[in-house]
Amino acid sequence: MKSKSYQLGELEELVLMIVAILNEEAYGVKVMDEIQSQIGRKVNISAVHTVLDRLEKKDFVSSYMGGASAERGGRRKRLFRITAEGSRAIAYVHQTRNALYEQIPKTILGYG
Amino acid sequence: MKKYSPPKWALSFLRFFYKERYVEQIEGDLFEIFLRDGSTRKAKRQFGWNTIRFFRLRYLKGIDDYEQLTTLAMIKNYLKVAIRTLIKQKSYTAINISGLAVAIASTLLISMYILHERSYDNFYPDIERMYRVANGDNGRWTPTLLAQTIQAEIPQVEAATKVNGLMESFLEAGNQGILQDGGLWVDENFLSVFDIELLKGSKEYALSEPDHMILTETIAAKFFPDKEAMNEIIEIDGDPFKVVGIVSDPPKNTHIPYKYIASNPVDPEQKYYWSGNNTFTYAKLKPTARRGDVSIMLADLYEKKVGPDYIAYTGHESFEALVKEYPNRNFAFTLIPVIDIHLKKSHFTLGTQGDAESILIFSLIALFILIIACINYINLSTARSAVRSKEVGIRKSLGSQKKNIILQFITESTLITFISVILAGLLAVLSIKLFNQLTQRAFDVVDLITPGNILVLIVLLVFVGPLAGSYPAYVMSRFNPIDALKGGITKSGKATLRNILVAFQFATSVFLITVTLVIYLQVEYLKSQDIGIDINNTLVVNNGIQLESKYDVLKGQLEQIPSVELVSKASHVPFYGFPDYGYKVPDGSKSFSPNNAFLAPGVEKMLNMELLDGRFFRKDFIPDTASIIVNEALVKELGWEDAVGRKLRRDNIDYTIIGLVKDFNFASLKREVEPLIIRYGWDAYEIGIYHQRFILVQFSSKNLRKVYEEVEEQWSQISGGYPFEARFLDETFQLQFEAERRFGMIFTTFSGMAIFIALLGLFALTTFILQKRFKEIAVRKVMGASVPSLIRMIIKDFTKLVLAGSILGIGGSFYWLDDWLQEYSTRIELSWYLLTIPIAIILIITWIVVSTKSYKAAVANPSKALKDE
Amino acid sequence: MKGTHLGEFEELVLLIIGVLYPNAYGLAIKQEIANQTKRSPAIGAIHSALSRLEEKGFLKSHLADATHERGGRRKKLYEITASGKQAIEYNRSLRNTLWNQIPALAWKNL
Repeated sequence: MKSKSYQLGELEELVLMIVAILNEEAYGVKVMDEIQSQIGRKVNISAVHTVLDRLEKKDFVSSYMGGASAERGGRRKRLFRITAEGSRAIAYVHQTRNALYEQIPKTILGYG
Repeated sequence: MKKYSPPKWALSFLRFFYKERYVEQIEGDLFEIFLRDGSTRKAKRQFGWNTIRFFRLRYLKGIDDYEQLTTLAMIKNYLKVAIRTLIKQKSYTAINISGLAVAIASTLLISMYILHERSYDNFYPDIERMYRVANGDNGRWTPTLLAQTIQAEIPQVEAATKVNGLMESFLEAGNQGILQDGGLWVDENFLSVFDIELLKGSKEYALSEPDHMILTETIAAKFFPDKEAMNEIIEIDGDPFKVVGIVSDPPKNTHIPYKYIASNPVDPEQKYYWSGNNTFTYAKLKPTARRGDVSIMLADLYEKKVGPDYIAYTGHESFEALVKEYPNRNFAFTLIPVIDIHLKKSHFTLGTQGDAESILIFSLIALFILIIACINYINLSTARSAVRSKEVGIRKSLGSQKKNIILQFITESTLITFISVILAGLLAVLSIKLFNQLTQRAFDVVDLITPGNILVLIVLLVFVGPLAGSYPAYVMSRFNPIDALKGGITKSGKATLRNILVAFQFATSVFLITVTLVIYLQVEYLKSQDIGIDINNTLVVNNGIQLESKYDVLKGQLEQIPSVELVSKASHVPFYGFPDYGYKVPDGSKSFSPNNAFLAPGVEKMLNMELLDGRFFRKDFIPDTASIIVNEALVKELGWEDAVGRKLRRDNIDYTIIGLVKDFNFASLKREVEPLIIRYGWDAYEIGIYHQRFILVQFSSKNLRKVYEEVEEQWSQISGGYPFEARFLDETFQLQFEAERRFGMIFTTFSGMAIFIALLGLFALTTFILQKRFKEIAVRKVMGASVPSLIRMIIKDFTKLVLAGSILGIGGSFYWLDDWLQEYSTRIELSWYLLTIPIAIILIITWIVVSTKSYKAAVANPSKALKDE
Repeated sequence: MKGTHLGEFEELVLLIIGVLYPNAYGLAIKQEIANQTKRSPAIGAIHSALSRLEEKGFLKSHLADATHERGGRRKKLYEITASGKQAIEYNRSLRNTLWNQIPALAWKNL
């Protein structure tokens, strides 16, 4: 892994992880639903699009057009998948946070 | 449950604004959510809302990779900072925006009104060739034969038509009968002059027969909701008419707002006199004709046709002698362009009158309100610059250039204008109903979208917003950053300029208050005038003629009702308008046209007329048909010493004056009492049918509603289904002040608005001045000044401004009111106490606003203010 | 869970305060962030995050004794509160839950 620092906003990080979890099945509504069910937070669909667009601009995800379906009024889905760069970003963020967490004296976190 | 589909507008909105490559995914996601939510109405709303939530720069067509464009990024930054500043200074923003929004809303409404008023009748393709033919310079009524004569005898006239209306008649079709207004009665040439397109039927055939009629779509739908109206029969006051044409409803800006058109050709059997004026005449000239030529021929025609009948009627030797006796009268027919009728010659209209003066007043008020709002804006921004000088200092020391600072301020002012414009639009839409009441027009929301208004909005957004921001921006960008940071700049803009502007605001407020007050006082004064008769406790029932001989039955029935004291009848009733009849002194020395009314015995008792000499009519006394009663004004006009016993002649019959009544007002309090002749209203039906147009019922009960219902019940039993129409006489009397009442309402509404905006400004200005003088107040307090003395100190400055403004405002309003009052024969004096009321009102409001604001500053702990040093 | 909502930077600051315990104050936080994440946030940004966290009840602060190196000025020391601890725990468990669901496939191209 290259020695590079990544910066991800809170919602960006969550959305990126959800794209990774959904594994080739990620698109707007699905991501929105997943945020709701996994994290219990209600996010507007337009906000999800904004985050996905931003992640794509940063090269953390890539997108392609999927198949049309009746429930979408015949419109195709835009499917997202995580890129290698995206994987590195969440891995980095995850490790950094965990490293910090490990350094916190256990007394203050109440483990004794 | 009902299934909805996504809102169409949202889909078009998406496709119109958003880049193609985004539309599909956005739509797809929205569809999915919509279906999942069960396609309910709520889901549909949500769909629309979400569509708007997607309104982001990057989705918009034509904006590519905006982040790379530095200018756009800069604008974004300016906007961000501007929004933050506006949110931070909530009260400042609210005051500025609400003031501007109210002002812009007024402007939008008023400019819509003005555009509408000026657009009357401009929809006729040949409008520049269309004329109303006036009798003399200002006479509305013309001889019946005029239209057909000028069409036949003046070659430059392409077509001419005689028109009567608009009338209210009883229309009956199938089993429904309604009292329908808007009836226009015309001859067969009407459609040749007025180019109105027939939706059904043929122009040539439509008005060819006397029993034909044309309906507007609304009336057709009203009478024949589920069948074709063409060729159906409608009875108008009992006569059958065949529907031979359908037209669209006339545009709102017409001076003839007809609802149906009925055929009314000249009757070949009847003899018409050129001296009788019974119809309106319209003419269309040929494209090659010159108005001047036609005018000369019309004057000539007057002398040839009207002249002989006229001198036979007046008894003059020749037409020349007649003209010589009345040098101020124009004995001719004249041409009035149809396009001028609504505003410039409004008494010729068949609809509601326009008023060139009210347009001027409206424009001035709109201008006033806009100026007040602009003054607020400038005052607030410059005053605020003192407070913001630190911010400017920091920006400058951080490397901001003058340009950046100016742009920042301009962005803020543009943003304020933008929000105000949106709010103003909303406000205008919401207040359109109230505005319709004020102006007696029927505007729709879509009428607000006029080229003028769009221009106003563009000018506001593109010029006013940036301009309003540029002055304070310019002032502040010049601050020396070091002084600004030290807080040393307290001189914010020119204080004198600001004082002048505030004084002007007060002047405007005082002007509007004074005008409102005087209009109100004048109307109250008029109402309190002794009109010379008793108009209370009398119900006037219309359409008495419909009863024919059954009047006596109704009279008998009504007299059975315990609260009814007296029942009588009349051809005309005070404040309903009296016609003038020509009479002459039997020796031929004088002919004149006094007002004329037929009153049956009993009316004089009902109205409590005061007899000065002679007697009133006797009941069922046939010789009294040749008797008349006159008023003082008539005696004065004829220069007599006494009246009773003298005779007046009309149609070769001599009438003997048997009574003289004290002058009473029967037309309008605006005018002096005019000469009046009272003739005998017959009780017998055969002769008296015309004399029973109105049935008067005098009652003693206080319960007006009960009286009305009791009379109505009797009417319904006897009239055979003819609709009941009645009004209390004192109510009719009040109605003549309708114009003044509306005028007063307009002034009250708009002066309220102007004062509201001015107060907002005052409030904000006080706040800023106090902020600026915060330390001074603290020091004074430490030195021992008391709270009241501090408040007095601050109030003193404002009082000076109020007084200066008030003098200006009073002066202006008195100048204008003096003119306005000249219209009234009885009027109030503009006296000294009128000076004090508006000033007192403004002064008290100012004191309240300023002292509540400054109280806070004065009681504040001085250490707080001084700690900053 | 309302109230435990943490922005990315806020979370970072909160964790760093835990790491620095009991010596977390403005400048130290700035330096530690630079050490651990190679980012160098402005001191103003840190202060505004601190006051936000304090408002949310995730932090408490007290003034330490004056020291010579600060020209006699006293340091404001920050400490994580009980609800701050909860917020950290919540965020960590949430992240770990998500993390564990990511299929191995996502890591193959690293």
